[in-house]
Amino acid sequence: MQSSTDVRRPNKVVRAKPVDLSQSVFEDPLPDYMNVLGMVFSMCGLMLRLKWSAWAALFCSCVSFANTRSSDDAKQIVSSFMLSVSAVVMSYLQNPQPIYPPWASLL
Amino acid sequence: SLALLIGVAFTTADDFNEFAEFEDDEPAVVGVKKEEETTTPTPTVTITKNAPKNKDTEFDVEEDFGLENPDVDDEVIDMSIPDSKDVPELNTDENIKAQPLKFADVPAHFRSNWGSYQVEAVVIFLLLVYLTNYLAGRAANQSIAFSWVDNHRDRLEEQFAVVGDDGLSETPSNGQLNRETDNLFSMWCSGRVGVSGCMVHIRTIKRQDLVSRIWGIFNKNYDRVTLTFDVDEGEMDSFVVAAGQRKSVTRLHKELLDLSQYTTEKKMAPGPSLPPSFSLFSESSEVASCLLDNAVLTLAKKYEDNIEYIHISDQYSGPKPPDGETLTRLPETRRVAVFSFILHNQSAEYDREAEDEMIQMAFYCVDKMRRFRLSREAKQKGDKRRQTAQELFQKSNHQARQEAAQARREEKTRERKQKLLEEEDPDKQRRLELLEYKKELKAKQPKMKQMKMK
Repeated sequence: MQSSTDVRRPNKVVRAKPVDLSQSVFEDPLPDYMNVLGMVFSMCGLMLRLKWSAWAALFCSCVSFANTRSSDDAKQIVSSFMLSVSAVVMSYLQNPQPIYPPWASLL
Repeated sequence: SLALLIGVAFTTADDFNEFAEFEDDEPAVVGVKKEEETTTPTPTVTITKNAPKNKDTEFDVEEDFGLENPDVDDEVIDMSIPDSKDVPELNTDENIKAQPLKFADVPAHFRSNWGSYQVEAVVIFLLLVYLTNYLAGRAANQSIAFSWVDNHRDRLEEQFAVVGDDGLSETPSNGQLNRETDNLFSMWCSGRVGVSGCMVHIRTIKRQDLVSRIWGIFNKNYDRVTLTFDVDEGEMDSFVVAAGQRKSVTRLHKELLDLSQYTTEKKMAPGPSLPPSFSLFSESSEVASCLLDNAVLTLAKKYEDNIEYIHISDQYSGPKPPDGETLTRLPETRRVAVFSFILHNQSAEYDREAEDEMIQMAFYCVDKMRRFRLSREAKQKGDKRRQTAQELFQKSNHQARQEAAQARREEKTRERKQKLLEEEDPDKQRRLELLEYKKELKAKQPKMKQMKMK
């Protein structure tokens, strides 16, 4: 199947244009969902002082960091990280008791 | 200001009288103090032992609070300390035992009991595992993408003048692989007859995200390479066809607008045909038989699990809008030829060779498609189908436009009525009412065409 003539056309080069992925088939909604979930968890952690939800918020912002598109700006990720870290710190400052380990009752 | 002064004077005068009754004691006291100071220097300052003892020093003791006074008379000191004998016995043994000390339950400080923070230790450990997996996964994805490009660069450079252009520098650069996300890499190649360019997407498994990796254990996912050719004007006839593994092609048929609008599932003609695990969606059977000739079929049979799907369409407009929204304007369509291959593992010689052949097959299909012309009646059917699709769209759009116009008209009449009500001076109001009345009359009149009678 080797084509005999040379098919290359250097004069017909079209420059690359940045493709926005949201329209294409490769669009992946995971980072946005994780971002929203992280915000909700850190709000719970801050308002209701639930330690486990603050930790969950930190985990959600890690996951959304791992899946960010390089075209997104970093502000969103930085703000979600700061929010979740502040939730963890605040919930421990107000009540430094550790979370009651569920496996304590098993021992 | 004079009044103020008098006022001030008065107040001070009264104040003065107020202290009048205290006054007669103080001078006595002051007097005594003055007398003392002049006659004997206060002994407190001097350290000499044999200072004369007299009543006055006693008086000093009270005044020099807290100052050590060595010459003060001894019995004065003895008298102040109670003798041990006549002091009542206060705390016996029994009383001590009676009230045990109660400790307030103050939460223990962090440093005192690190051991009890077990849940936190586990969570932090999980975060660390996530972080290391992220770094390792990202590196793995990057190495796969780069190794694929290195393996097949020469194949691409045979076909394209520029491979891997980043579009930023003045002269087209070469070998630029963009990282869209940690598992999606893209490369733009251009400068070939018949196509304006080809976007190569390398989409690997999400190794960098632990959650997706665990999820991937249950439903298998593969690394994929997708070549998307943008076909030039006039290089392609008007048809839409998609063939490939059943699961992916049916998913595409559901997701993509052009496939769901124009194509229907087709059974392959008897004789040499696609492997059983493949399915075919096409606009007309003639297109399928022409494109999938022997060369392509043999390759498809040989690399059955390497080819994911082939999708060639002149009405490609991306995925369907989510079912809620309807299209406000006609989606712009473009001619596209998409070839998606599954990468098993890069190192195996067999796989690398397979991918090379598949890339060659992609270019072969593109050239064949450029030479392919539909038969007359197939072309008419295709064009008619596009026409009906367009009209269908116009109609639904027309309805939406009409409703919008209707809403605007009602809005205007409501505003006019509003203005009429707010108008104060009567004659202007009457004129507006008249105008309104005439408008309503005209609207009620049946619409008749004036016929000119010759």
